[in-house]
Amino acid sequence: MTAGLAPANAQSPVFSESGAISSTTGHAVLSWQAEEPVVLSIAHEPDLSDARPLYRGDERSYFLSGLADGDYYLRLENESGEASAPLRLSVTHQSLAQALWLTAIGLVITLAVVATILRGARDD
Amino acid sequence: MTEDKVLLEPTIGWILLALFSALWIGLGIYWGKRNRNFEDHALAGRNVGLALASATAAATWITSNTTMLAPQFALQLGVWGMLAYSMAAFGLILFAPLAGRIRQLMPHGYTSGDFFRLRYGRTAWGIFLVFTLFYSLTWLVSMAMAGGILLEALAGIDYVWGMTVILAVCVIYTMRGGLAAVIGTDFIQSLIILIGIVVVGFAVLRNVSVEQIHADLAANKPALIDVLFPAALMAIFNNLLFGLGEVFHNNVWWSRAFAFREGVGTKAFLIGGLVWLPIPVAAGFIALASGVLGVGVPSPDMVGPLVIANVLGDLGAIAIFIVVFCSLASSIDSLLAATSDLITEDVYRRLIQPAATPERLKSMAQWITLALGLGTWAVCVPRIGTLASVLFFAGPLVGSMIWPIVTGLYWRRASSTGAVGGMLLGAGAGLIAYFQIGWFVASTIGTAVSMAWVLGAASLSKERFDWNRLKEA
Repeated sequence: MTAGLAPANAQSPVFSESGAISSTTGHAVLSWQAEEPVVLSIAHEPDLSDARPLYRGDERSYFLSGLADGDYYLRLENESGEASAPLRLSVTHQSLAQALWLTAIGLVITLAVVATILRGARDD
Repeated sequence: MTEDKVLLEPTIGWILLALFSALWIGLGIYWGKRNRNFEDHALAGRNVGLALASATAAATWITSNTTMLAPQFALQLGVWGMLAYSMAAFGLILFAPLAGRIRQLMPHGYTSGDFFRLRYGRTAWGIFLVFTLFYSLTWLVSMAMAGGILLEALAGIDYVWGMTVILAVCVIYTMRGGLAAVIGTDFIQSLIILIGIVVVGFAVLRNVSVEQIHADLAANKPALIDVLFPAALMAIFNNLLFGLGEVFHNNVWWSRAFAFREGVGTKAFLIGGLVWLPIPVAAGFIALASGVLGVGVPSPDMVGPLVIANVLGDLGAIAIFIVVFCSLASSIDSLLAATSDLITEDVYRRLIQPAATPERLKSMAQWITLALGLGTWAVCVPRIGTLASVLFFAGPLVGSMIWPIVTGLYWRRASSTGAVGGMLLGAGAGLIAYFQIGWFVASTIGTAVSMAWVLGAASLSKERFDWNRLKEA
């Protein structure tokens, strides 16, 4: 799946995703190839100056969730200090107006079902 | 890579699997001795009491999805996601009054197919059969596949062996014991599941406080506690309506409405729903604690077992293995029984052999259970991952049946035109929404379109249905 994405240094960890990724729900599964345990970090700044660690260990994937709207930058670093190229993740949540409309429609349908059942067979 | 890391030694996994398999099969054979004809086999003699009835309602609704997907929902969609999953309880709670009405209108009924055939005629009945068999068979396949995958992930048991054992055990005791065995084992399974969830919930709370979890979410996963999280908001009523459609139409629940002693159904489904309601919240809460506990989650569907194993160690791994096995068995057995009864009654008896004796029907139901098991096994062996996700297509199909059922049970003016159009238009619109917007709106839109058509047709209808026609089933 990631053939052709091998880094210049074969020891460096590398994300499986090619190029930037996006999400409309604030979550994403990140996967990577690495020969050593890694530290996965996340940052708001493209130069990762405000990076904070998300995960440390020898798994090869991580489920990230709960992100607000915005751009995020992710990086992998192994125990030898070699780092991957940053991966950009853009989060743009779905339209709130659409969500509220559909929630209102769902509420109306549910109340109508409840009312029909509670009213029962009065036209018997 | 992650598949290699299991929570439990395979030997312990096999021992647990063998012990519980022997228990379920032994009980199935014992309870099956009382069955003499199709009514005993399919409907447990129509004499199930309140305790067993409430337990089977709750246990059947606790699938491996409840224990595995509810934490995933919480991790993906936050607090709203957790509550959205628990909304499926309203399927059982709102079916409570319907169960009483069904028992009253159809004292001799066997299946939900009987209702569609007698109430709306053969066209609606045919559409119903296609929709319900699609839903039931994909649910059965997804459960069996989930069983194999989970046993492999939890204890390193080979996928094909784990899936085969779970399926074979459920087929054997359902064939031998019928609905009585399904309901009896459900009672024990529901107790085990409830105790397991309560123990795990308290164990997590002993390790972290609610304040710590909130602080972690606010700092690192703010959308999970955002009141206006769009996808989560849309999921609330979508999940509620999916659950309503699943319960209202499926023979798993109608067969129980027919099997419960008179006056028991309404109370049993109400109690079952109320017992079920907090379970996804407890299971989801476990997932929200993963950040504070420092549990890295490689795949969202494994968050529940990973957190439990982190908190409880080997004991937790054993507990989650048993809970998962019980959750799978309590759903697979119910689906096997209800689907084989549906095919026996609606296809074999109504279309092929109307003069079949009750003994012949019982024997046919047993062979159909075996055939369903073998067919499911054959589909599951290649482990095609996308098959399990096909179940989500069923959301609009089941949602489109809510209004034809509710109005058909209460309104004499509900018409065949309304039912047929409601099911076809609702399912079509819901499937378009599924692909254009996402799974979290498909049931809502499918149900809304079906409702508009059914209500419109009823308001124009001159038909006044004679309720006595339902008594002939």
